Amino acid sequence: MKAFRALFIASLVPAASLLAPHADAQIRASERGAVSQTVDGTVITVDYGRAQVRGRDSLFGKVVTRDEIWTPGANAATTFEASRDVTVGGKALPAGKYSVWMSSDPTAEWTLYFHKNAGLFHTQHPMPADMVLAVPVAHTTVGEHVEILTFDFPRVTTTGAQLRLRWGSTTVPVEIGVKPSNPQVAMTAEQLAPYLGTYGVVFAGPKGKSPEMKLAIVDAKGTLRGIMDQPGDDAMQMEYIPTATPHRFLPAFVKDGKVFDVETATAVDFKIVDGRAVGFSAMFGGKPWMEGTRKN
Amino acid sequence: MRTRKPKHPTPRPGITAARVLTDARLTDTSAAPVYAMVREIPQIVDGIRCNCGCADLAGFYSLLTCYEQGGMAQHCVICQGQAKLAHKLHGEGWSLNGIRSAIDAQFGD
Repeated sequence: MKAFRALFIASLVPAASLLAPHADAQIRASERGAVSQTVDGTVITVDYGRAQVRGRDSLFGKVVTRDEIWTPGANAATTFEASRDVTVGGKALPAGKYSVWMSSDPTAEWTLYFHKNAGLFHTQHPMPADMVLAVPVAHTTVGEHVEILTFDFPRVTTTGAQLRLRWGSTTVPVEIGVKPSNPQVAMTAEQLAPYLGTYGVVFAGPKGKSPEMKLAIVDAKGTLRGIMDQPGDDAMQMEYIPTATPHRFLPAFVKDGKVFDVETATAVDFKIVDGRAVGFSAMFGGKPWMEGTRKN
Repeated sequence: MRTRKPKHPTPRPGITAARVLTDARLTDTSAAPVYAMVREIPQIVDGIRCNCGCADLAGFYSLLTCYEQGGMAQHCVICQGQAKLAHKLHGEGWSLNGIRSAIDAQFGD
């Protein structure tokens, strides 16, 4: 009988091992999450354990105690990674990956910390003196209830973004700044001269070429500015930002005199004859999509 | 770099170049070709704001005014530059709004 039982149990083992879930596939109380935002070529990524409120009240002061430096998340410490140098709350933070910590005493100013070791567990609280950066942060406690701890980027501009932490009724915003990928450098009159003038421009579309449009390229205080004549009150304006390749520029959209979007996928190449541009072309996906011919 | 949008005047109906200084009244004859350009397109020049600073003075209405009173445009590279660009673009069939945008980009604040 014992032998029969042993045989029966042994026959079940392979089936049981097939049915048993792997440890890393277990349901977790705080699932991992990540959010990423690109700002002018700088990629900012926050990876964190999404802690849940689960009916607990007084998160700050009770769940997170006053004297504690905690990682805003669960389990493995929340990480912040920037592909290029950034500023956080106006303070410089070199490119890299950091663990993120916070002091959140309800009776005092809150501080966001960045530690060079991105592989810490939430119980391995670093000392404030060991932090790479400490940034005072504002917080509000009048927002809507957010059950799962959430990081997001509710505002993105050409020069930065707002990173926002929400948990329960608490919101902590912090401003992230980036370095411009194409800083505007004034060109001399001699450098600008070959390109100035008026051009006829056609665009390639699915039904062939567009009607010719008028484009004037002018010297706008040391920058190359393209003005498109078109119906309506506002002519489309582009700024042509020089690159390391001779006679190649990146077009950037201009609104109210300011660049707000640099188009990196459609560089404009001017064709130069006897020191003067006679036209230009821009490629997209390996095919020309815009061509300009000098008119004057 | 300009951060505010300048307001251009609306061309006055029936405006002519009758008050633009004649060549005989110019003290700097090198400016005569630009004055001739302005005489050709008064209805366009009257719809352009002068960016040399005179637009905020009393009695000035448009870039055309610079060529009417006191002969200031004879000695102002901005007045002349704006008129030259306006004349060139108008000759190429540009709209008034397009001309204004090009002038703002090159001569704006």
